[in-house]
Amino acid sequence: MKGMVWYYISRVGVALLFGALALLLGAPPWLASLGTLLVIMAFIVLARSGRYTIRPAHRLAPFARDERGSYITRSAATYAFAVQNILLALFVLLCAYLPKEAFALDTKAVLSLTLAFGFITYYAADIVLRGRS
Amino acid sequence: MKVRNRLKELRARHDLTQQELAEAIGVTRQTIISIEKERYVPSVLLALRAARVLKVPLEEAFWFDDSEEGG
Repeated sequence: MKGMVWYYISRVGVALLFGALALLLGAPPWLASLGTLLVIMAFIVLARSGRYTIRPAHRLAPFARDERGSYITRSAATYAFAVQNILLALFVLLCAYLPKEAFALDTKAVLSLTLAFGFITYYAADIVLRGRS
Repeated sequence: MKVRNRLKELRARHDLTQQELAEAIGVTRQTIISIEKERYVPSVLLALRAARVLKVPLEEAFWFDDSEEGG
């Protein structure tokens, strides 16, 4: 992990800021410290996950996706987009054909649900595609 | 038609680890693993880079497997 000093210094800074914010928002010191440690660990895991190529010349943002990573991300995003659109279309059809008493549409709930399914699809597709390709 | 490769063999010939080859051509080690297992077909650019690092013509490192044609 050559040339990653700036990355680690900056991320420790971010983690400390996170801890300070938690304290300011009223979290107990032990919880803020634990949160800070977890954030630092997350950045270390990210650096060692093997998901990204390392570009030490870009000191503060040294990670980049290679072509396989980009392909997986693009595919996962496409699946998520398709699932969201299909769900929205289903809701529109349900609204159009079911009587109002049977299907009262709450726009916020519908959007939250489609977004949630989109996120789930994205991450599930990401995991499956990484295993397959 | 499947794209085959002998990346593993060529890498061993040059005494390179997967990580070293990955760094030389600017990808992750996982991508090298996927290519060697023929689960991922690299772009022409990446294949050319790999062939250059391994000092072989492109078609010596990657080729079509005609036996799987017609399915």
